[in-house]
Amino acid sequence: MNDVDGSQLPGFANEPHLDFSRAESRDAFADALAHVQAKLPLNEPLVINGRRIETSERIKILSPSDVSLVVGESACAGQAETELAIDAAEKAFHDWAATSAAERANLLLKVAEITRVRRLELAAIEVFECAKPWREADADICEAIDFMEYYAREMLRLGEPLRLQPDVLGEKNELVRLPLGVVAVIGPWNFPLAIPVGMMSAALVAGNTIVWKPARQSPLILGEMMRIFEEAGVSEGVINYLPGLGETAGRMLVESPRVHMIAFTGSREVGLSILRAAGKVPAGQRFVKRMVVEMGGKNAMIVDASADIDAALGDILVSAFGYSGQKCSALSRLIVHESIADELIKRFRDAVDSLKIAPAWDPGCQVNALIDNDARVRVERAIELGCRDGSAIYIGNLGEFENRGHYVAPAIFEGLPKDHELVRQEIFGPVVIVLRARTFEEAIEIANDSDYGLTGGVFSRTPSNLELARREMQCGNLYLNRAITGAIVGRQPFGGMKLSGIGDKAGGPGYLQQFMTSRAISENLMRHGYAPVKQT
Amino acid sequence: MMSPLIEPALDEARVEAETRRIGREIFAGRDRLRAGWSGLAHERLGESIMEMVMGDEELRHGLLRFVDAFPALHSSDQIARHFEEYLAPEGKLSAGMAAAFHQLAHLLGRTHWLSRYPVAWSSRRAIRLLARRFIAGNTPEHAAARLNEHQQHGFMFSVDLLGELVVSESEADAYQCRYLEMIEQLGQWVPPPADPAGRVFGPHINISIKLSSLTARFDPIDVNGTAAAVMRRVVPLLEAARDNDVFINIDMEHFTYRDLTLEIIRRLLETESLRGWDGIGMVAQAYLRDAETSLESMLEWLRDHNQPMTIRLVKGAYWDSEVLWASQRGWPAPVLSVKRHTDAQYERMTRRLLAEHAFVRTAIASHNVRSIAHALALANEMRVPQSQFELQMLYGMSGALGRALVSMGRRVRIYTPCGEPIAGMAYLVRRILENTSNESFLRQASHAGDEERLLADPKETRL
Ligand SMILES: Cc1cc2nc3c(=O)[nH]c(=O)nc-3n(C[C@H](O)[C@H](O)[C@H](O)COP(=O)(O)OP(=O)(O)OC[C@H]3O[C@@H](n4cnc5c(N)ncnc54)[C@H](O)[C@@H]3O)c2cc1C
Repeated sequence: MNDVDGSQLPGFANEPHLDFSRAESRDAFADALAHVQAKLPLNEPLVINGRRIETSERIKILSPSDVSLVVGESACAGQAETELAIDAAEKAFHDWAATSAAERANLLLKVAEITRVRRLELAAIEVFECAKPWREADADICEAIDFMEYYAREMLRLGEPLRLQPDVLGEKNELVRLPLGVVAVIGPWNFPLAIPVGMMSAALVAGNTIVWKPARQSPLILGEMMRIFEEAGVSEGVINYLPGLGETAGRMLVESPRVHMIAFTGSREVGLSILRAAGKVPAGQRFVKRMVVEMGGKNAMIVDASADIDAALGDILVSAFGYSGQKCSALSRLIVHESIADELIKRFRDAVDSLKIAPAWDPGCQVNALIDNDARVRVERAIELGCRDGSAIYIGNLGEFENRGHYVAPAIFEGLPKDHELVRQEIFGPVVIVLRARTFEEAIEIANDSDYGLTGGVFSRTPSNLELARREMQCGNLYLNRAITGAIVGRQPFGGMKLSGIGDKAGGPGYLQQFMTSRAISENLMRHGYAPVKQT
Repeated sequence: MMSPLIEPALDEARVEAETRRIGREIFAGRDRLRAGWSGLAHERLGESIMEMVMGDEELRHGLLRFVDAFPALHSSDQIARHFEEYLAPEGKLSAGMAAAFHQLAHLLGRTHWLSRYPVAWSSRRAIRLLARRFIAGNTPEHAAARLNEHQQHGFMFSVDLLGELVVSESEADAYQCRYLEMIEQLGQWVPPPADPAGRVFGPHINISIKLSSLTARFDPIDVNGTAAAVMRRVVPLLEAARDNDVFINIDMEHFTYRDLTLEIIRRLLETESLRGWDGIGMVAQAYLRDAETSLESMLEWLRDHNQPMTIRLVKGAYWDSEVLWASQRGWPAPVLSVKRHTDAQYERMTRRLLAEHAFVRTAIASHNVRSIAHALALANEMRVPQSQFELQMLYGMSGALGRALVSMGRRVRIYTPCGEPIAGMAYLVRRILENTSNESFLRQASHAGDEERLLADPKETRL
């Protein structure tokens, strides 16, 4: 493999999304959907040590948009397969860790290139498997490409030994970075390609070997991605694709004394249990496990008295109902300044009533089906609670979609007590809680009154209030006068504070180092009082 | 079946010479009219505010943001606070700002600029005057007086309803109602002009609409869904317009909406109940890179469908946002990046449209004397009938220039927006942005002198 020359590589740039106002883009996307649909059902075996392994237990994927459509199935790793996968990763580690940073970066860039060529097909798989609408699916693939391009460049930077300061004659001090070992990457289904590929490619390019467990709800897209890594030439055992259940494969990975690090994105409940389990050090484990855990949010958007309401409404809709609210960054608490609340709520209500519920493959889809029946039941229960304990501003109607898939119509509530479960807990669905504030300061207090601290937003045209928000808002990603979802690699490194997670921001300058350890090396260059002037 | 015109060979040198001659005549007419006319209070004030902010980027930026936020500010305290935060951050004024205040205070007859209530009072008044310069009234009924005035001065008009962004189907319904009302009633408020010169061809009531205001979901990703939602509301509007003898122009918005807008126009023209009616107009934007290709394919379609059409040729009102959005998305900018390339493309498109005068009525919508003079020279040279050609300008931007053209016997239509101040602010900000931009013709031509440079052929000018 040819090494990349870091100095020749163009600077990082985001992969442009498709421009769907162009007929070519729309036609190409529709063609990709037809092409993928003709290939259904898909089948993905495990990939361990480069070998494809079937299991008798299966994970079946029905399309959330229409459960009569079988999207495919994957194998489902049990205890034996999980052990095998860890073995394979452990065996592959030595050689992979010995490759140069440039070689690993090169692999990632090559994968990014193949992904770019096949982006439409990958997006189409998500449309069927996860009910991602067109734009969201396209954006997810672009983000995956961005992560690979970004971390490849980060590795070229971090792969160079760091000359430590201050420089002293007769002494050479440098910091070199080393991979950890086996990393388990446990991904979510809501950004089915971007998040798992982001975590995995960071681990990979840093020189670790990987057991890659997709979410139970979205193994197929990652099976396709696994083939792309193989096509790009990743060595056997370096990435082991292990669809399985959280309770079995997931738990084993977390508890294994041979797994050095866990990168997880998902629910708070699972995230905290992983942190607890991984905190135990069984006999024979010679390291403390590293952890990067992203666990969601209860994100607030403040609309100030001076806000541009037209602009705010558009971005509120996108933030709250994009992918039906199934984003950890999604808007869940809308905090409105009293003086504009009535007007805003009325327009918001009518706007939500105008959203189109549809299968994700319909280009007009604005509210898609939820990921599975559990999600549907959970969100329906939340809506019942809201009706019981608060006042419903809006409860949508599913119409013809009542029994086709896992659809839930949007709902908006207000008048809930501030410690009510709907005000406190993540709902992960198309439900918004409206809270009124008498002043901007009070709005910030309400926003901060949460266990979580992932995203937050403010619409205001008062410079001093925006300044106050910059200082006071307790969230990892603060968005001023714009939507609070749709973070872009490099431009908006993503990750929360408080109970939203631990770990540095994905797509930012601190992320990759978490997958590495370092060694500070100090050499005495002096011999009998003589030392070279130029110390190399 | 109309056949494509074989473009007659033109005497290019003569067209160019005529362009210059007509251009000088327009300038001279403008300067004459200006000398005897000091303008209305709001025109003078608007002029001075714009003068002040030109060349002071900080002030321009602050003013635009203040104007943008203004409709949301309800108390004097709030107005004063925002005024300070935007225009006098950290409590101090730049030298340019201080001079500006002095002038503004003088204009408004106030002297205590920096105490709170006068600040609120004066800026409220200044912004109201500024808005009045570009927006004719809160409702069409209020604007009727202005429209009648236009007609008395020999102008024609097109009315535009400014409104909030439409985010719901009920708001789209409300819009449709406002348009319907206007279609049915404007004729009563504004009777046809007594027109000695016989300059009016077709309906004297002319309304401009934006298709995006007729659905909550104007999204090019879903052509059929959007078209269906828009058609449901716009077809009844057009039918009412036909029955009331009203002309409807469909404005052009951002580039992402262009192809969808053209597609809907084609579907409208094929709608059974509207067949054969020629009261619909469209817009072509010359600042788009692919403007000529797009125009060509529309002309071909119109010819194939035997469909007469009115086409307003503009440069394009969204240059700044098109450039910003494209760069944020990593897309190539859809607009040209050099101003004179837009001007040159505008001239090529003018020629293309005038050549089709057998079935295309061309509206040259510009305040640029060179662009206008070139169109006038070409129209003469190509013997375009009066009925197939008119000039258009924006309310508040035509001034002495518009009056000069009318006195030269030209047909000039004034695009006249009306609407509530909140809804109008986006429009107002666009106008201020344009009027204070370095590239703006009006700005460059605001003082006498330099006419020859301003009349130069854009395809030859080297800056
Ligand atoms: C009656 C009427 C109706 C209109 N309707 C519409 C409409 O439906 N849709 C619409 O988009 N606009 C519309 N406009 C606005 C029009 O597009 C122009 O913004 C405006 O008329 C200014 O152009 P000008 O020829 O008068 O002035 P000029 O000063 O000659 O031209 C300014 C224009 O040049 C272009 N420009 C500026 N900088 C650059 C640059 N660096 N590179 C390339 N090009 C540049 C921009 O289009 C800018 O508006 C309308 C204008 C009128 C008069």
